[in-house]
Amino acid sequence: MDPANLTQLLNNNQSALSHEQQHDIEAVYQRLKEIARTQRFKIKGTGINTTALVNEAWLKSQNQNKTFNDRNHFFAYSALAMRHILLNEAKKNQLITYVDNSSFVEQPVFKESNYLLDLEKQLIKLKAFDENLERVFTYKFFGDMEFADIADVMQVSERTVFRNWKKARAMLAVALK
Amino acid sequence: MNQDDLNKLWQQIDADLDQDDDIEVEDYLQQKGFEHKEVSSLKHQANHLINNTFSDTELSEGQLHSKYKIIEQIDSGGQSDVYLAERSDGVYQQTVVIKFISGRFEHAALKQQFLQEMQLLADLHHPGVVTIIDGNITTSGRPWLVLEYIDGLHIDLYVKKHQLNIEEVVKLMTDLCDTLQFVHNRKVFHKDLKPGNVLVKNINGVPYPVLIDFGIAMQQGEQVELNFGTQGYSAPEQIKGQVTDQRTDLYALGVLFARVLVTSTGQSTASGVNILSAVQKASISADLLKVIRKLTAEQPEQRYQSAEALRSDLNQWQQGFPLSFDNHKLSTVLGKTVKRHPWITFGLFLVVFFGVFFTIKYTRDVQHLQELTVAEKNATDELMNFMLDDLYESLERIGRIDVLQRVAEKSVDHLGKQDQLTLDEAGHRQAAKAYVNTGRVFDYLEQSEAAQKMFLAAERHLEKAFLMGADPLDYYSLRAKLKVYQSQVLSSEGQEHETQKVLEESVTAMNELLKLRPESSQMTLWEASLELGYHLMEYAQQEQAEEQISKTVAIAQKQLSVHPNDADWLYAYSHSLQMKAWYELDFGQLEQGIIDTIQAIELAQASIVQDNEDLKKQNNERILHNQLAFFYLESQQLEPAKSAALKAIELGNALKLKAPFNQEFEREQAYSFSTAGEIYQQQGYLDGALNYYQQGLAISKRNYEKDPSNYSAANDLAVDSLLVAGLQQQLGDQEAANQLFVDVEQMMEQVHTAEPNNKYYAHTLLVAKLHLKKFDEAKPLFELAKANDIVDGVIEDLLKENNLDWQ
Repeated sequence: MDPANLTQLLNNNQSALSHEQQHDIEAVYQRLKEIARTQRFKIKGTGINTTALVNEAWLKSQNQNKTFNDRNHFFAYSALAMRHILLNEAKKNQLITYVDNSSFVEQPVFKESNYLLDLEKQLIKLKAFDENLERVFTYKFFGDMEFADIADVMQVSERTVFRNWKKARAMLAVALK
Repeated sequence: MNQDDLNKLWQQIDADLDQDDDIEVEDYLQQKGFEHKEVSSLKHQANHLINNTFSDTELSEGQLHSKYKIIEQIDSGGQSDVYLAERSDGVYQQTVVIKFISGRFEHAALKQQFLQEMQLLADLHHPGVVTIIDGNITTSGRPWLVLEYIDGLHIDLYVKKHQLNIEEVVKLMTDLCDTLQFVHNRKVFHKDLKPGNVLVKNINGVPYPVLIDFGIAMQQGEQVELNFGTQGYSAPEQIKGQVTDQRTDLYALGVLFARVLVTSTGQSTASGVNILSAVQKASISADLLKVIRKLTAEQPEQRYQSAEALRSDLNQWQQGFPLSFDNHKLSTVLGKTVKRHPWITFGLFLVVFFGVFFTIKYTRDVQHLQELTVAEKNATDELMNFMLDDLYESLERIGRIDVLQRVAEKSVDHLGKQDQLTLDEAGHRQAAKAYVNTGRVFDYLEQSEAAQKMFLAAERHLEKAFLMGADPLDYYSLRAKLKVYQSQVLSSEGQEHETQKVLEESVTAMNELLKLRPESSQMTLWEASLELGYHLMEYAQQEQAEEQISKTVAIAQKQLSVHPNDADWLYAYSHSLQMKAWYELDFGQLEQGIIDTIQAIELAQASIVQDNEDLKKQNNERILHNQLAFFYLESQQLEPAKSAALKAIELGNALKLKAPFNQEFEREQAYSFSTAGEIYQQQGYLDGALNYYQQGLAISKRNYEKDPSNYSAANDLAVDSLLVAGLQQQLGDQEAANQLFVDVEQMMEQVHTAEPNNKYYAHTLLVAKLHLKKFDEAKPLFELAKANDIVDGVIEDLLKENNLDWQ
């Protein structure tokens, strides 16, 4: 996985991932799930900590097959993977409501799914408005990366990242209302 | 917000934050007053979703992992996560279902309990129960089960896909009953029966239902959340968290049955539809509806007590035998007996077919029709009861209840022979219904006394049935109707206080009924309200009447907004306005009365468009034209009055063709003639007027002779006689006129003595006495008329003519 590849992936329309890219995302997904499995026992009852998840995934990948050479790019990739995973999950949940009973609509999982689907729509618009804002948002929101690390991946100053993060949040907040 | 607006907004945010990037996002949005939604952290916004996504955590654990290979997740929810898997330990090749149950069992005692429950289920070897293959608790305390994979559809989907008919659905239900009884016998209760938990598989081409997903988790004691079943399927006691047993399962089975039946009729069963009310509207046999009602009774004691009992009723239904709850109901027993015996069925079919066929063809040969209808050969009392029950409504629609007269008479004979002591609750209820039906026939035939006797007998039986434990829904509904019917015969005998009392009783019964089941039809309530309104008006209770009339209008209007284009509520609304108009006429708002009558006519026509076979609705339109003619006449608009009256006569003639022997229709036709006569008279066409008056008088006379105890028929005759006499006077035939005045006086004297407070009867008598120049006797009647504000032009003219200064 090289930075160019990642950039290309991020530039692509979300729905048009190549076979290889899908494969990569699946690989990250599997790793995240495996980590989540063990992690769940450590922090039982409080749910999954996505940051810890990605950190641990990184450590494991370092120990095992070393697909990723650059830690920050791994994180960036994981953030994107997380976005995809959750989006897929949210879509699936929405499908369920078309065929299943109405009580599901009241459940938090469904509300969260709707939220994420709305967010995704706005993210696509944001990307059209300013691609950098969308990238910063994805890394921070879905990957919980440090600003310094995002700055490193995007090769801009940390302050710019911070400002872009604020802009993206403000813009999405008004768009989602 | 459209894309352009959003882009502008974003550009502004972009520029603002470029200028000041130290400001916090929240503060910034607040300052600018932008409406916004929180965008904080993923953890905060999607915690549950993340947990769900990553929570299939135990799949790789030890025992499970080595034996089964997960293929896909097929369900996940509050109670459990379910996966399709393959047994992959090299022993068997088998597709299975693995289910992880929510909740953890970390204490040894709880684990033990879970395993015991599982053992209990594992011991349930029945083709209708999903087999448990394996199961345990993971080291992390999560219970899991491996179940046989059932290759089948949820029962509702199966019924839809294979388009099962009602018989086939009932067959599936009997299989389900067998399974449930087997399970219940072992003191295991499912507690979450719903279509999603009943799969239908094909065993050698025969569909067979299999129960899956027993609610294990809830039997684990207090540490685990209680299982409240599934919304819509849970019995009241389950929702309240009270003790549950097999009857709780039967409640859910009732809802499931309803849903599947509705599905089989091809109607939508989308979520959100109240299935128990949807099934009432579907075209499903009344018996099955009763079965469902019994299954879904609020109180467990009122439900079937076991799956076995239900199965027995379903078997009875399949074979066309009477069901458990109406063993004593003659009509049902007879109806079903007949159904089982094709020759008799054929006979009955012929009877009904010819009866209705000839009736609709307006045959005038009533004798012949009665013979066909009553069907001498099968003229047992039971058959008559049956016919009274079922044919009344259809015959009323075509205005031919008279054909039921002989049935009614024989029915009375039969009812009189019943041994009171042997009757049970159902027997009394059935007798009450039979008396009510018979009473209605007599009322229709204007035989008030006979009708009243029937209604009193009906009430006695109904009260007995209630004491013996009849369903309160049945009781209140029949009682409310009975009271309205009773009021109708009472008012034709003119009993003031009694009428008000029975109508108030009807309203009370309806209120009880609506308390028990708010969705019940409010038609009887409206009828009672209407009758009460007319009654108060008739006895000059101005304010009470006005209040009652607004209530009546409001009920109809409300129900019409709930059921738009419903023919019966259109009719009811029209009728309510008609009453309002009468009130307005009586209390001096004639113009408003005309406006309301015209609106009532429009509604009446709309109701006929919706239901053009019901003669009652056609008669209503005619009555309204009569009323309109009369109102116009009162306001001296003679031309519109004439066209309304002629329209009424035209409608009346059409009705007479359709129902030549209907007395009520005839009486109304007599009104049309009187009104038309009066209009002609005022316009100076005396011959034409006399012609109409005499036609009206002839009808009134016939009606009165048929039912001399009916005071309103007497009053009608008197009024028509006065009209003819007045005209004869005008034409110079004083002798004939005087004779008629004397007749009227004699007749109305009796009526007035019996009903001194009825202002209309008093008015009629007053006019007769003034014509006969009996001024001393007329004076108190005049005072009464004055007090009731009904001194009209006729009286004023008579006073002037005789130089009386009473005003």
